[in-house]
Amino acid sequence: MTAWHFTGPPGRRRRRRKPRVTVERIRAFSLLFLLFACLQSSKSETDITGLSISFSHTERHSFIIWHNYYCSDVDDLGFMRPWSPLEESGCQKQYETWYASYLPIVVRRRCRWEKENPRRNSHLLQRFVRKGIPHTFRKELWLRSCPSRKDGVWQRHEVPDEVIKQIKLDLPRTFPDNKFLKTETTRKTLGRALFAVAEHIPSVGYCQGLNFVAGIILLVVNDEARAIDLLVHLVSQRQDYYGKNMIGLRRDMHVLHSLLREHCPRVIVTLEKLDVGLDMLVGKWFVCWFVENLPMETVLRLWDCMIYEGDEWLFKIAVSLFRSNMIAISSCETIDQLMTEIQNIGTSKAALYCHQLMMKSAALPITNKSIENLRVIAEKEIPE
Amino acid sequence: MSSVERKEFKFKVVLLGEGCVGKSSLVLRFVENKFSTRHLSTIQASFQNKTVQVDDCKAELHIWDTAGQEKYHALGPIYYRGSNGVLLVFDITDQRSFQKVKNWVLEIKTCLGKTTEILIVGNKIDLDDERQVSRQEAEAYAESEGALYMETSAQENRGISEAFEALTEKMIQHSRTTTSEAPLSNRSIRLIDEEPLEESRRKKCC
Repeated sequence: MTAWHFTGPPGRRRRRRKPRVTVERIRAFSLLFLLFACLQSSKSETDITGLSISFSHTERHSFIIWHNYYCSDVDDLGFMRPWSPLEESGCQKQYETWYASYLPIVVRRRCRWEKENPRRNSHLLQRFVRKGIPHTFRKELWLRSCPSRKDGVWQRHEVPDEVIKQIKLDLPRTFPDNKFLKTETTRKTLGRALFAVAEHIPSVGYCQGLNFVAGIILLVVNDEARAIDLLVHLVSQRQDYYGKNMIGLRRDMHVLHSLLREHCPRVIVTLEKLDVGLDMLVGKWFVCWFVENLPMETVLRLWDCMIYEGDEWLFKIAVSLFRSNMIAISSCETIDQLMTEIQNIGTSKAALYCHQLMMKSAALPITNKSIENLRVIAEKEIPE
Repeated sequence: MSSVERKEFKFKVVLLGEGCVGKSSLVLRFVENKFSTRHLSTIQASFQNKTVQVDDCKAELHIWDTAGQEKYHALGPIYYRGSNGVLLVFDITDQRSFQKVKNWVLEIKTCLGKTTEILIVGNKIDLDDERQVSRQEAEAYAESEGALYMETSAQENRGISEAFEALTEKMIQHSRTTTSEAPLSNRSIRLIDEEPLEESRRKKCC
């Protein structure tokens, strides 16, 4: 019996029509494929990794990716799959359907990246990044314009004991279910990464939420020194978010407010009717760049663009999410309904179907320049 | 409508306290009756609903669970503003977290005055061997501040529903005695404006 059989409400198990491609079928297919591959390779006296002998490039990729996706309960980054029986997300069925529709995209992107080599042209690269960086190239692309600490870009400062204490408290509370982060060695690495941020950017020190950001970076980059470079680099670009009064965060909430007024006025009408500010509702989206608020794949896709292009992507995604959930949000009549709806955005269909979300967001007329202009206006409005 | 006959209430409850004292675990235990050792740090705040029955009254609690880190207190007044009840949580094995509760009491009294009920909660009584804050000390302090004091364990599910019920009872009494004031739901949402923020900040530094 497989994982998703456990999901139905007890006692009311109705037989539903299955989607055309199910995880179950793919698992079976994958096993057959593996068997077939073994047979093939034994004939030509090569090991299983020599699959290319009998399969084309695309087929091999599809197979490897599909196999990895479906035959393990843990993904490449060590996170529990949403359909794993241990995962308590409760939306396994929805994930299953989504994976089946998303996998062909992943496979195609990987083949396109290998064939096309988009790095030769910045315009092409932007298009490719927006469509998603395949996992194998993610590290390289994320580190593309990241300076190394060895070059002496960053100065060292003293770190107060209080900060160290706070970091230590949060180490076991950072993705405790992740296969890699639950080991003592990786936790120590995480601690060193957060310490490096505190050391190089004293105005930030440590801010809760950075632990999740650092966790993801460590898992993707998988190389302590470079992961720390990237973490310090990215945090330094947004250091006013984490400063003493979180001035940058409050400013950007004003900016988001203006953007929503333009792109999604119904939401603003509701917010004004209920007299509630965005910082209360979605501040945490920006503090940890959507980690822990959106599904992991969506976060990675968003980070691809954010790292390559800039902060405007945080706004693009936020506006997109509000637009997709506009009806639910604008029909709220009390603050608690609103808060519940906002919390539900993370598990909404719009958030899960990341490819569609990215394409929709890319089309929004929000640019780095428009954000900069709005920031200048917002800075005058917020108190010190 | 006379307030004495009111049977249904809506309250905003906020949990405040130092990091890692078990605020989210209390809420998780109370709302879903679960406990997890693999807990994630709370970023900014999260929100939950739960209805409690006290005597013949029904109260819908809107529970705001906040981040423990001091940095987030720049956004702090947003959360506790307009709340009817505040749970100040500390860890009985950590004297420092109890001191933090004392600071919170001061801050809440200056910002909210007498519009809110305070319940101080000593959590983690399953770790009684490592206790640093005695029950007597905490009780005496709570009494001097006109607050309730209760001890809980989220891990062993001790005293949690009692704590929330006691607070609810107090909030019901409170709302019955202050009938002349505007309905609570109106007060729970207020402009997040420059002035109150600045005011509260000035008071914080003393």
